[in-house]
Amino acid sequence: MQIDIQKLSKRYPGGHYALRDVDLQIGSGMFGLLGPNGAGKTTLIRILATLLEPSSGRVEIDGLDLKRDRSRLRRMIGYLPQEFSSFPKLATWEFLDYCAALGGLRRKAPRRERVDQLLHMVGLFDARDRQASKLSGGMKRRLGIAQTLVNNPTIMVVDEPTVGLDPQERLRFRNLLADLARGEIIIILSTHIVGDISSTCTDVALLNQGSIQFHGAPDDLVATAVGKVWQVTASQSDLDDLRQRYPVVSSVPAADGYEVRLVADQLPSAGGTAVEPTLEDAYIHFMQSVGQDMDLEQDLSQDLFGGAT
Amino acid sequence: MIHPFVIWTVALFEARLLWRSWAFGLTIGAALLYLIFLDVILNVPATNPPHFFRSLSGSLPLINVRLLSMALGLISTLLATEFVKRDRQQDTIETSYVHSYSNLDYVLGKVFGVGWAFLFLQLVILAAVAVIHRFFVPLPFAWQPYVLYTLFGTLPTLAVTIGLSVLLVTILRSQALVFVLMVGLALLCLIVLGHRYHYYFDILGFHIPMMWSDFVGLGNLEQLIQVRGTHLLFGVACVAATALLSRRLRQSRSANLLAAVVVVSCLGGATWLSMQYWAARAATTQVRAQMRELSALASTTPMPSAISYDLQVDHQGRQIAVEADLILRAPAEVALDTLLLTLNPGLRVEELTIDDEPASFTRDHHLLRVHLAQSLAAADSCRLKIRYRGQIDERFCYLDIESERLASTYRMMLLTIPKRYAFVTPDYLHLTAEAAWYPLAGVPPGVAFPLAGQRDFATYRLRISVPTQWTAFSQGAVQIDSVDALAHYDFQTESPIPQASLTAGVYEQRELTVGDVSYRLAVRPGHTYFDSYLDSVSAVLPELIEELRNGYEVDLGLTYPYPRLSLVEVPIQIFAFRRLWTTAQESVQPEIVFLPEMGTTCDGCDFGRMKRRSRRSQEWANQAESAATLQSDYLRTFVMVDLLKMRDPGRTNLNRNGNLETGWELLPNYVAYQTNLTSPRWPLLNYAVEAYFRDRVTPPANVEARRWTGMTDVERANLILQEFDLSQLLAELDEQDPLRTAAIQARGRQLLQLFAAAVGTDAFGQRLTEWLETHRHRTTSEVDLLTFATELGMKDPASVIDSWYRTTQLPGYELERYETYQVLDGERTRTQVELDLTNPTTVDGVVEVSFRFRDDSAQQWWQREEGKADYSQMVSMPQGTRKKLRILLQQPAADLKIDTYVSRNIPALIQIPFEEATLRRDAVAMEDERSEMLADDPTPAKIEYVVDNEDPGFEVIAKQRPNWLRRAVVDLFDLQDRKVPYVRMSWWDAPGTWEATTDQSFYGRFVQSGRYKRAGDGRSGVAWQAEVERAGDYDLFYFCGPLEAIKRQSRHQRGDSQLSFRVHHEEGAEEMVFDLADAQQGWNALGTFRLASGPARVELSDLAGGRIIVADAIKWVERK
Repeated sequence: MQIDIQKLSKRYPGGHYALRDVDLQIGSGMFGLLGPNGAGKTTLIRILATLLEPSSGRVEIDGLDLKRDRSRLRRMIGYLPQEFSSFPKLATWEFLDYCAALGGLRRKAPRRERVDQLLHMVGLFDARDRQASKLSGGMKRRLGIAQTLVNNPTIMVVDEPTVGLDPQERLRFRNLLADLARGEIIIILSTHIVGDISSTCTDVALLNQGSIQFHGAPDDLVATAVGKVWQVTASQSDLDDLRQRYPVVSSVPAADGYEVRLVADQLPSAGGTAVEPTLEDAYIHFMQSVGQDMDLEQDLSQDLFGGAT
Repeated sequence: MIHPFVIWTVALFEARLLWRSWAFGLTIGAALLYLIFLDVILNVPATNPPHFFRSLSGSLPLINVRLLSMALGLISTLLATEFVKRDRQQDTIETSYVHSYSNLDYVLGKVFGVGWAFLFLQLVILAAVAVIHRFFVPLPFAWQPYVLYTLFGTLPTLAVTIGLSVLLVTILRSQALVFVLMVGLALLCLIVLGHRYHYYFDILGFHIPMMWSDFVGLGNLEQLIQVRGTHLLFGVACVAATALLSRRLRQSRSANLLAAVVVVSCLGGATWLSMQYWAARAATTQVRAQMRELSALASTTPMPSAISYDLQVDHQGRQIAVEADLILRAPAEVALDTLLLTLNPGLRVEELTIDDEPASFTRDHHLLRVHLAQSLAAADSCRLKIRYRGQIDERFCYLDIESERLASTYRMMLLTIPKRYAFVTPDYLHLTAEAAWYPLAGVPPGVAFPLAGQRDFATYRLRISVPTQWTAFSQGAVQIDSVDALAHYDFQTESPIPQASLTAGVYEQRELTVGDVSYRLAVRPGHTYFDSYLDSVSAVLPELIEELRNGYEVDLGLTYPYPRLSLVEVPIQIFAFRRLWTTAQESVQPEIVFLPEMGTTCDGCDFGRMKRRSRRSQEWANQAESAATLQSDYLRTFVMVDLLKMRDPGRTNLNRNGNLETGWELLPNYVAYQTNLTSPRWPLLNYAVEAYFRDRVTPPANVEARRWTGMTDVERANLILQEFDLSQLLAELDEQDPLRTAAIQARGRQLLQLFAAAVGTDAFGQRLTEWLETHRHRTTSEVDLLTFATELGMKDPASVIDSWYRTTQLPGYELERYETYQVLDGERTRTQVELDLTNPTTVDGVVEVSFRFRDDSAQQWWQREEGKADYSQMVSMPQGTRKKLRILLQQPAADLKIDTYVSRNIPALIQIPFEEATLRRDAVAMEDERSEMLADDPTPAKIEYVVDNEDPGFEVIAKQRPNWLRRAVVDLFDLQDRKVPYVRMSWWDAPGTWEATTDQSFYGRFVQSGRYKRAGDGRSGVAWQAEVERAGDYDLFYFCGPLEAIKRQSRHQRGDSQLSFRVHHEEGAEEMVFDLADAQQGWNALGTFRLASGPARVELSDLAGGRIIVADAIKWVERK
């Protein structure tokens, strides 16, 4: 099972390119699509989910053309959008039942069986009669996953699935995805939360301003940041200065000021010690190197590290 | 290509969501409430529902379907767009988009889901209505209307509203915008477009004629299929187009192709149906114009007249085959080479002989020309045998009726009914001479009026065979022989009649012979609703019939000329127009009256209401009448209101909007079917004679309509007569203005009144009756009438008729004074009424003065209203005279009415209610009529200037224009012309601009009018200006029009009704406030002002405390 993306571009009516000449090969397993907001992740995801027509380029999935064989490919795809909620006035099982019917399960008994199986799988069986729209955020995401699985897809496209979830739900979700990825299935996980990828993906691509900036194993991405991540002890005034000059990953208050972790090509003037980079550090370093300005502490600490740091 | 399972799944899902949504819940709740409310109202006696609402088996379902589909159409718009909007906004829907199905599947599923939910709701409601109808309403029930109305009413409405909504939302991507557009479109179609353009834009199915008759079904199936089919196909095309334009990426080329094919084929189908529809309409217009033109050309040629008919009719499903044997006669002074006849263009002539020799003939539409081998000598006769077969082409009927009137909606509130003039169906047969189902000699008046107007009096023999369970009706004595399963009817008239009809179908009959007339009532089985209201009347029925007949014939001065009279129920669709040359309508034939199905459109057939009213009035009066007495009253009401027209229906008048022209008055049997006055010079002469007799029995015109319409038709007709004379009106009959018809008829009504006024009313009436009796069963000419008038002493009747024909000058009358008091006449006390009535114009006129006696019996006002006057007198009003009348009445009078006929007066009927009269001992009981010349009146001692709102000195200041939207709508739909010159006075919805309105309480010489508007902010106003000749002190007066009504309304307001005047005088201008609370009816003094010679001016601002403000007249009176 392989997805082959060639010279894929998407240009919106205003002239803005959301994707520009994207080339990508995705094999079985969990694939992470990482990038800041507005990088084009959702556009790519929606194209792969047959919801959006590309302006140029082509996508082949196991030799099937995404445009020409849309009918067959839709039987293979499961999709979880970013803002998944549910229809009002519909019980959880009813929603899944509807998705299963649309997915081609015509006979009632096997469909109900499949619905119950999925509810068990995502831990929602006890909530089967609750209105889907009144489930908690995490439960809704799990319901979303269940509906993507309803027709046994070979490709799952998951867009920003962990945004807004509490750590426990996030962990549970990651584990669920990891379990699913063990089979002969491609799971494309689009996110700007590096933690999601670091814990699950075997393959990752970095998307920025519509172009693929990096594609490889997460360890290869980490390797690009070796010797670029520093631990610095700084006073309050030094911290302000450091924030002006470097992307500061974290600043933890200590007895004599702050323990600051930052990304820099060279040893900062305030001194410090080089530390082992993580995927998050590598991502920040990478984005820094392609000129993406990031105010990590303020904007990204929650999202980037999923609240687990 | 199409995945039924996906469609089903989506539809089920959508329907489920819809059922659970609050909006739909509200809809269900509202629908159920409405259902309970409406159907309870319509079926519970306590609510006193009108008979017509539920009389027909198709009425109740139609009312329900109309209201439901309108409401559901609007709500489905909202909900259909709501779903699309949700699809667009929520990512959730995209989880289903990635499944494998075509866009067509999905859109069809959604639309079916929404449509089905609404349809299901309607079906449930209709089923409930049907149960109520079937088991709780003692009236005919049929299941077909429930199915057919849903098919032709609801289904296309839902298709077009949902289809167009989803398509627009897909294109415009704004639910709010689409909802506004759709509601706007729905309202536009509902209010403005729906009833126009032959109902083509009636997308809600609210106006299109659709009524089930137990006799014949719908009667306009083709029209319904074409119009509603167009709507349905257009809706389906929109749905398929939505699938094509859906933002979800397509996955199935074949489904797209199918959607495209559906769009193209549905639009093609809709276009084809539309073209069929409009082609038929255009063909009708064209064919009718051709037939009129041909008739006009033919009318100048000499024509034969028919003396006798022998018609052998064979009813063959939707066709008739007839063998006709006619005796025709050439005119007295001309030999004929060709026999000109009229036969319905749908009937094909198969064989034709003259005196048993084959003859050649040509057909040109309805005209049949038989070319004679040997010319027919003057006054000589020949025998024409003709065999023909075919269907009746109803486009031929009523060629003289202008197209707008022909196409106007036959409506009773929510019920609209297609107009039909003949039926030949396998189950029913109804033919009258209007359809020319047998050869009419020459060109009948309906075809070529006013150019020709031949109506022959002939004897008829008519034979027809029908199934034994059927009954056939025609004129003359009948012999019936039953052989096998067929009944052979043989009708033979005893005297010549002008036309024959033929009706056959399944009927139930009652017969009764009273005196020399055999009465028969025939209705469809199951249509005997009246039985429960008239079950005790049979014992007194002969007596009642005798009483009614005698009463009518005494007033009319004529006796019923036939040995039988049948009342035969016909399908509700049968419509009869009023004509210009006769009072007769096709709904009344010699010996037969064709009553509408279940008496639906008869004002006097609502026995249920009569019963409830009488019960209530008995309770109030604490009286108990016998059932026979009460039921006699019900029957009397029906006969008086509908058959004799001796009583106006008053408030129960179904025909308030004037579109129900069909009447059932028996008068033609006494007059129009007895003689016919042919006058090429004055084609209206025949109508004038008939109308004179009608005036002997009909009550004064009902003025109630003024309250609703602002003016009566007579008044509007009088305005037209001041613009055009009769010759002009008759020359331009194509002008398509129904009011012109009313104008012509008003003029017709006046002619013999002028004759009568000239030679003395009583003598004229008596002699005219005798004249008519001696001219029975034949056609007369204008020469006969002129001779008759000359013998009576009229100097030059032809010039009277000529000036009546060619003048636009109308007389006008002023009632200067009236007084009523009791007076001693020997031992008896009588009521004396004094009237001073003037005709200051330069045209001679005539008025009818009538009184109704005060009635102190327990009858309620509605029971005795609008009857014939208890006393009436024609008064000749020569130009420039004052008539001083003293009339002695046997009883106290309740009111006085002065019918001004054709005049400048508005209101045209002066109506004065009388207080109880007091005894005046010094008065002398006497009756006299004195004339004074107005020129002899002394010059008034004081100089006074009166400026009324009708005068040139009156002006509206800062006239406000209607807003742009209103102007645009008025311009777009050509509504301006429909505006009446005088509007009704509406207290609750007063206009924003100064509108003219009339009422007797207003000041005015002939036109008693005023201007009114709702109170404003002072930006608008009116002014009265007079040219004062002599400087001096003048008292200023303001005339308060309907003061009592203004005061009554003002009581509901905060603040008083104060008027702000600005009075211009010698020293400038003065603002003053006049409080209507202190005012009295008539002239009110505003003060004394010194005026210089020259213009004097008073302005009234629209700033007032009350709800409305009225501007009428101002008077300056010189102070000596």
